[in-house]
Amino acid sequence: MAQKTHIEEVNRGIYDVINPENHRFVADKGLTEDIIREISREKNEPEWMLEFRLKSLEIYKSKPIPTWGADLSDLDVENIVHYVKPNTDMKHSWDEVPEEIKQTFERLGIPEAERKSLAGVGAQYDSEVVYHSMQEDLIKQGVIYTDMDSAVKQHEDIVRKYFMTLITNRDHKFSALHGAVWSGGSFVYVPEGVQVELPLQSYFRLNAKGAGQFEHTLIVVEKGASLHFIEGCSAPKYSVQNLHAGAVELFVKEEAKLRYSTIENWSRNMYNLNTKRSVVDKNGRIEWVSGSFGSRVSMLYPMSILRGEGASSEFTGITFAAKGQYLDTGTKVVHSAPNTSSIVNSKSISKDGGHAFYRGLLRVTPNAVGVKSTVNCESLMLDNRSKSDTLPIIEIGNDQVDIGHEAKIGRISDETIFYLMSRGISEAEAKAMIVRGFVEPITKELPLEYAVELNNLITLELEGTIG
Amino acid sequence: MDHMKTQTPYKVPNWKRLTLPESLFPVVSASVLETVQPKGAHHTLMPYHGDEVRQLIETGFKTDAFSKHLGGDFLRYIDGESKQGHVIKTHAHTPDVQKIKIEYQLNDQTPYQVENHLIIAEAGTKLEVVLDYSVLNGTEATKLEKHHYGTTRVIAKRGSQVRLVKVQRLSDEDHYFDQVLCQVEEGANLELIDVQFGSRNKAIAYETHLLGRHANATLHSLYFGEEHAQLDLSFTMKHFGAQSTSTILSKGALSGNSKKTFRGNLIFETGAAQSVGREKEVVVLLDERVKSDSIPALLCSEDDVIGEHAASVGQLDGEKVFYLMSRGLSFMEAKKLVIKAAFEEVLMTLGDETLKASLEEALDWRLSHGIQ
Repeated sequence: MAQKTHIEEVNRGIYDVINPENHRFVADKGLTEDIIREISREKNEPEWMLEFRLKSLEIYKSKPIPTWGADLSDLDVENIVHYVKPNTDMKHSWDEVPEEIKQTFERLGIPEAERKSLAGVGAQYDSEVVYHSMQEDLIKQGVIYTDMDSAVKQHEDIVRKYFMTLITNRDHKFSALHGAVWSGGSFVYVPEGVQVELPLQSYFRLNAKGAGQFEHTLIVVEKGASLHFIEGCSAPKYSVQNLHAGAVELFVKEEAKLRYSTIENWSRNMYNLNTKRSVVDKNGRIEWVSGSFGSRVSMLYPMSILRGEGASSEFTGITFAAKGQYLDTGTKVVHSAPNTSSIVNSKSISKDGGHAFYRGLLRVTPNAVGVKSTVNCESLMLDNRSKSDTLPIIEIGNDQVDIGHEAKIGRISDETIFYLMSRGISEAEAKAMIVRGFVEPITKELPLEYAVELNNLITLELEGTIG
Repeated sequence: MDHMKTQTPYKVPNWKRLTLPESLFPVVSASVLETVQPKGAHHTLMPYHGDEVRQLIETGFKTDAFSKHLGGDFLRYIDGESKQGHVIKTHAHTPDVQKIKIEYQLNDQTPYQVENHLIIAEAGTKLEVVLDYSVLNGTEATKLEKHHYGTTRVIAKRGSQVRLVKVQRLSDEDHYFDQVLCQVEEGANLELIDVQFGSRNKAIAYETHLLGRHANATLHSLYFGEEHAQLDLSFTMKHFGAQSTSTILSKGALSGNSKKTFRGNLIFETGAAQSVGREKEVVVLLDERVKSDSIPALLCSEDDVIGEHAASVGQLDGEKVFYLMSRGLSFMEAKKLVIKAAFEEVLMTLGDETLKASLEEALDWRLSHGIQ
């Protein structure tokens, strides 16, 4: 007999484990100048950063909540505690990390992963990086991999040059909020010509009730260097709504290459309003691999600005929207230099009343001649209570371009299922096989342990529908 | 002159992708010259005004269910200032195809046109309507900017077959704003052909609701954008009925400093099971200064459907051009031939030889003047 499980009954196991709150400092609810000053003082930041935060707060208060995408009317930003510092200091040895926090990470598999193949771990527990290590040889090569808060103090010159220049505090309300209250995140600097062979990984977790997470990731890959960075997210489930408004700024220099992989698997009450951007110089390359699961509302559109001649980008994304979820995801590509190229492959699955929305932008500026780009969007609907929308905007500013776009929406065809069943496979397994095949182009781009997690997630999600 | 541009109280809105001139919404003093050529005796052709028309729309047409593509200001202006238009209605149980061709010629005496049409095909009947907008040839013809604003409503009842052809070839400094709203009932077939050859500023919106089972609609759009032309083309197919099918095919060429926005919306409502919708956009860019925006949307609330969109934006097919040049054609001739072939596919479906010939002539003229 096929197994029948309703998804809301499925125990999300390790993802829903809640630890008792035990924090050293919790900011007052609501956002005032005093809170910003307090955050900055706690972090012992340089003066320019405090000024930047205060300016951002001012902009934040002047900007309206965007109304064009998801319904954010339930989001009560004032009631989200913006900064929570966990009751532990930075540790460099696993043994020194408090047992309680360690257990959570162990359940999430981080030390395992590190023991196997990862070059370094910077795991964010609440808003502060509590654990961080890196292989010796990377340090010798001059690679800097640290948490953002330390970077502001230890590598002030680099941070000041790049910090929030790509995503500015004027871009939108949530980038301004981020500028005001950002905390934690990863900082990676790869010097010229250095090839980082093993992927660097950072795992974020949100723990305190009603706490927002505003981590800032800043990666600079210098000329001819290469890096694979993996960001993973999972959060425990709470009844109080949560907000995630992180920022990711990626600078890919001449002939450099960066692959940025993410699986975001937030709990079902999260508002995930994340901003990610990369700028790519001559002959550089950015590759995004992005999986969006979980959360109540997501608005996420990683952007690639190809500003150097011959720069290229590739975006591979999957979005899975189940009951009660509105996932508005996509990607933006701006071709602003000649002979740049881009590929976008987006897949979405919606089921059980979930709403998956692909929103994309492809822009070619008037001077960017010789541009080549293909955009592919495929959507799979598992029932007719769900919704699936596709809105790819294409703006072309000159005639020397070669642009192709295709979009498809549909369900699993009865014929395919019938064929597989005629070969002795059960209906449930046939459907699961087809869905796994549908997302295969994404899973094959992920490191093994992430691919396994993604497959498990999909199997878990599908058990609710198929059987 | 009494038709000098006097502004009406309607406000010219701000559009993101098309800059609207302040001269819009003029006061209309008289009707534009029209030539009506009806074929077939089994239809009613009457002016669009009075209680009877209002009643026909109120009982048979769900205006509120349609999006306001041109926005409230345009719609209030069209409804408030409409001076022209027809109700075209087939008689029930008529087996013959009813053909009505209406030509409008704008000139300096009547440069502004605001019109409303209502086209009704009774169950099982066949109707073909051609609405052709042009400028009267003559020395005085291009002195004043011409304006067209219009709404055409179409009701294709059960099992009927309707073809509506709209051709716009005003002068290059004119303005053309038009919307076509269609209801297609069970088993009915609607064919829409839109040709945009003239005008500096043009915005057209077609929205078709496939209401019944097996309702079918196809839309062919052809356009040529030149010089400073701005085009906003919006095509919507909304599936309500099960097993309904729709196709949108848009083909165009842009030259000079022209700017085009294509909006293709395929919408599947819950209940439109086993429906199929396809949209395709092909645009050929002929000048480095052109701007081409495409916003194809697929909005889906029903899983058992097939929805597809494809777009290709780019230069002419290099291989085709190369092949033709290897046969002795110049680069210019080869380019023209490739574009012409792309347009020909749609013109062939017109079914009106006179119109086809005159459009081909217009296309040739555009090609020889548009490509440098």
